[in-house]
Amino acid sequence: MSGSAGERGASRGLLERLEPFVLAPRWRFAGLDLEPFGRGIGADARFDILSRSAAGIVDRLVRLDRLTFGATGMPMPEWLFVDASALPGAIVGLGLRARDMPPGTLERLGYSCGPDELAPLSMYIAVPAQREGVWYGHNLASLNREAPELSLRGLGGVTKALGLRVMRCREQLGATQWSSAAISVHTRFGPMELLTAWTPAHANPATLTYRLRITEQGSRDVLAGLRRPTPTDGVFLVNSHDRQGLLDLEHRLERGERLAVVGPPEHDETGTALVPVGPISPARSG
Amino acid sequence: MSAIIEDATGGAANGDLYRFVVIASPESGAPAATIGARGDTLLLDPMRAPDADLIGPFQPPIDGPEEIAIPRWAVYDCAEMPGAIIGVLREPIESPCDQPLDPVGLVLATPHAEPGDWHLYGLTVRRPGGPVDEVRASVVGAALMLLGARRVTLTVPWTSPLLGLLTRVGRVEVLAARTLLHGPGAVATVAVWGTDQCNGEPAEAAVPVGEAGLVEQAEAMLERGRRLVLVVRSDRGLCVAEVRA
Repeated sequence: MSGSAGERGASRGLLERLEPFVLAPRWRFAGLDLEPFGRGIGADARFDILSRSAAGIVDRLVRLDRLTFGATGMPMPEWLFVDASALPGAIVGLGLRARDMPPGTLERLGYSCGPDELAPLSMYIAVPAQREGVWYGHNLASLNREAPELSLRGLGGVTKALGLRVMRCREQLGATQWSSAAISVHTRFGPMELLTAWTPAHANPATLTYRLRITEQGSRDVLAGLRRPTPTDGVFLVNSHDRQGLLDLEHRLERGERLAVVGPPEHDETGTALVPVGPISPARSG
Repeated sequence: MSAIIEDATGGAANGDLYRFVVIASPESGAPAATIGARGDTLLLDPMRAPDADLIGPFQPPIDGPEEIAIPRWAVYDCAEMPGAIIGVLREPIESPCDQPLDPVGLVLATPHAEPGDWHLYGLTVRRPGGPVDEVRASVVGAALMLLGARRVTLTVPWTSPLLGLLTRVGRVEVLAARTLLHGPGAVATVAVWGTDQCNGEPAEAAVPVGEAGLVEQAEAMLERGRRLVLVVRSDRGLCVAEVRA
């Protein structure tokens, strides 16, 4: 296992230092895990998306999304926070009460909240598939870079682990671009089995669709800031900008080959992401 | 098939022709077995390139007012992969290879975490040639049927004629009187129930939709845990009534 001592310590402390919250319709709370990893989600941190009382936290989550994704040009239209997020699924995250934030941070983030209200620092959004235990994650946002004074290193992975536990997820589906830094977070949970390597139906065809098996050990490793070593048997590097290479990989999947992203991306001298891919094995499938 | 669907698509179902299109990945668990067994429904997989070439007409607008535009990634991530897109064809066709797919209406569907419940959004009508809200209601009815749903939820402005038309599709329960992040104007979140699955009878007393103060009154009742449904009264039109336990 790897992970610097600082990384391990930082990740482990986040769940203790920050307060978890959940946003969903009120009838869903009974079916969620509201004591994820022994960290209870208090009654005043459970927000009913269909109640006006959730207006404040919802506005701040929209702001969180803009802070994280605005520069990439991929912020989510506001109404999708209801229709494609909290109403059919859930939004889970970590934050601090406004009174516990460092002076000036709230204003710089553009949050408007009273001293006892929750200022979100991260969120994970997923919607369920029909198969029990299967969720599709489509948004992972954290203010690690925007609020360095809060020492939030590792917050993305911890937030995803928290969200998946709250949702009682055993199998997580998702899509991401081959060039995305998020692959580094996702592979902490285990190998990302490839469902597509080239996805014309997506906005960016250089998108991979993946499946992650969520295990207790995998989640606890993420919380502890640990990472499994990247395997080497049969592993090859996929150039995120090589269109033909991605098409060839897609054809291999369509012929029935089972492959997975098995570790975080490397980068060549131009900064292009090179993603390690290898065959699925019983041991590797999690 | 309900009369409202027949009216919108022009005639009774014919098992030899496609009348509906469902776009859903095998990973979604959408009732593919049921849908696949229907002779009138074409099932497309967004993960596979040949099918991806056909799904273009079934995309909601990506540009335009913020309240209707949906980015392409959100359609894939929130509907096609975990759920489905339901499309109603303008005319029945024999094969997508011979004729382009031309939907008169479509809607995105994401499952709720509770089995049998689905959320609908991105309801889009193309060149209706008739009352737009009639087509919208027929698409909702088609989704309820094709998904085998216990109930479907969706957001509808209180001023929209669609609210009244939905009462012809099934029992309509009001879940929220004003939905966060929706507007302009008050937008309700409602549930349309499949046959006879919404328990309880509406009270005789009912308030007409459009009456001053209704939205605030309904919101206060819902926050207190009361249940509200839409009913059509011959003397007052579309009304909101409380459900008696």
